[in-house]
Amino acid sequence: MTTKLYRVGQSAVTVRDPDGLQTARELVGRRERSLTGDMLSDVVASKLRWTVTWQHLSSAEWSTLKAEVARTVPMTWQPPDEGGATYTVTVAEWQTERTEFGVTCSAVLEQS
Amino acid sequence: MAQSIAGTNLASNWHSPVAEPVVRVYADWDLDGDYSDADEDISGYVLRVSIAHRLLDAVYGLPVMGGGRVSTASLTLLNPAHRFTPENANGLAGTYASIAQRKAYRVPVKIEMGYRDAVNGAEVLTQFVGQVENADPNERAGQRMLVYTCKGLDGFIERHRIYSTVREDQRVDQLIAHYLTAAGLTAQQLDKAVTTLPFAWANGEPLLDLLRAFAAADGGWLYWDKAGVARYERATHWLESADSLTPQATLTGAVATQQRNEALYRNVFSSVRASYTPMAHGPLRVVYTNDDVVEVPPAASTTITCEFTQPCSTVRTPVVQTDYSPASPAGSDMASHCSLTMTATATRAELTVTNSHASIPLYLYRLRIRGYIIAVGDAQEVRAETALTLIDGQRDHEVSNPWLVRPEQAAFVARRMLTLLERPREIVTWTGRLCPWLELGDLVTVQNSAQGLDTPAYVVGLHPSYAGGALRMDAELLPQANVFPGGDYFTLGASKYQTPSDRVYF
Repeated sequence: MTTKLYRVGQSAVTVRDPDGLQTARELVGRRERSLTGDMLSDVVASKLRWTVTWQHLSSAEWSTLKAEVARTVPMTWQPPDEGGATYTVTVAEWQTERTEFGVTCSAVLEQS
Repeated sequence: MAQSIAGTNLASNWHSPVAEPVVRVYADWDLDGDYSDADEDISGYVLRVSIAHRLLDAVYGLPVMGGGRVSTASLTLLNPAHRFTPENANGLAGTYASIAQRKAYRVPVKIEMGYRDAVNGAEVLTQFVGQVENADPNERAGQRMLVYTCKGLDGFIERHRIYSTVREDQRVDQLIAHYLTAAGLTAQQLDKAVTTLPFAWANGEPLLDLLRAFAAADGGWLYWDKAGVARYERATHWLESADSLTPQATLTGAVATQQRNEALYRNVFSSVRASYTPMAHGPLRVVYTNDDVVEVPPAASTTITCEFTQPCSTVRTPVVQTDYSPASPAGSDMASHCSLTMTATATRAELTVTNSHASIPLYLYRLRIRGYIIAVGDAQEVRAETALTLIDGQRDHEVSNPWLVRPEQAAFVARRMLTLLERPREIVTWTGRLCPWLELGDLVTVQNSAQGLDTPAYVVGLHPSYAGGALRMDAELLPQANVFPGGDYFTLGASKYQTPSDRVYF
């Protein structure tokens, strides 16, 4: 189980495996009702969105992770437990909380 | 004529409850005539597309003779890192002079739309071919966009003005073909016209206006289809074309999001008057006289533009001592040092006068040009009156076209216009999922069971669009009933003369 997050085309950066991972599928397009009441769905693409939580990160782990989640460029994301599959994503948002146990970080990654 | 969908599943995918739209946009940045070069597929940057093809006349809201309006397209693109910004040398402007120097003006553009099929993959059809007219970068916090405003190929002969010699005894389609080809627009699909014009020429008017006037003089219309092909369709085209006789699609409420019906009572007329002006070969006349003295410096040439008082079928090159007198400042004859060349069109000539004397200026006196004029007669009028009693009082519509030159031509045009205008027409605007193969003039069936609407109608306006991931179209539809009140017209190239004969037009 390995988790990676790094700039597209650059050297892979392994970050700590997350403690929480939510994956959601989003249909990109429009849905509206026709004159007869039927649903008209126009789907341009299906995209994934991950909400990832790392709890109690050590300083070294946080330092590595922060350098990557703070980037605003296209990133390569290798989630854990997907056999090494990678996705191009952008980090839509991230937030942290510091406690006596370390840093807790939550980030939202959106597939490009 | 509807685009071919042979071998595709577009017929089922376009009205599927779940469709996967595909939009492809290409720009020929290096102007090499194809869209295969790097950076020319700009589909990945498209935010919104809005296209308009219309046969509808702006005043009447109906497809009247001559043609519709110039096709347009608006392309809204994402502009990351100022990729398309003309002033940004680090973007495409650094590679393509067409962007850096001309702000993409007249860069050819092609837009394709369709749907992804589960078996065949993306299936798209061309929706617009034209050229960029304006590029408007638009920047807001967090979002850079650029809007290209494009015109169909007809838009670029809107301001193209030419002068030509007279062409005699040419059918309207032959004239259209000649002038379009001369303007470089060789993609043409022209019906054989019924009308032969005894004389025709271009006199510096916008070429599109001239060609539409030719088309109107034959009762037909000229427009550009979605693939950028110029189409001339004669008055009976909708009675002859298979795609105007058989519905090419059924527009139902299941894939419609909006429908509007507009009844055009404001454009009902009880009579149509068409005036015509006969033309014939005229005698040799003086059509240009220069009362001034033309001065030509030694060993030099002077060019003057001579506007004729009447159009000429043939112009004679001026003859020395008959049509002009060259002389020195002292009054001695300079004919041996004077030469004159002329390039003439029907209505004007460019005269170049050359003085071969090394030191003496030349003065040209009493210059005139003679030509065989085209005698234009007094205007005469043909009137078509309605037999219907749908409106109170008399409302006359007047048709004026310099290329109406024969009474039978005027009678036909007046009757054709009256047929369109003698009763209130309804235009149905159907908004819904894009049916990508429809073209102007196609017959469709429009259905709305709640309204009790189930009628065949001609497509007279098409507005394909893409926004928010959805492909839509506004289709403006003219119900077929009474557009052609007969039904037994003589079809050129198909009908045979017989007893009783079919009708010839109206």
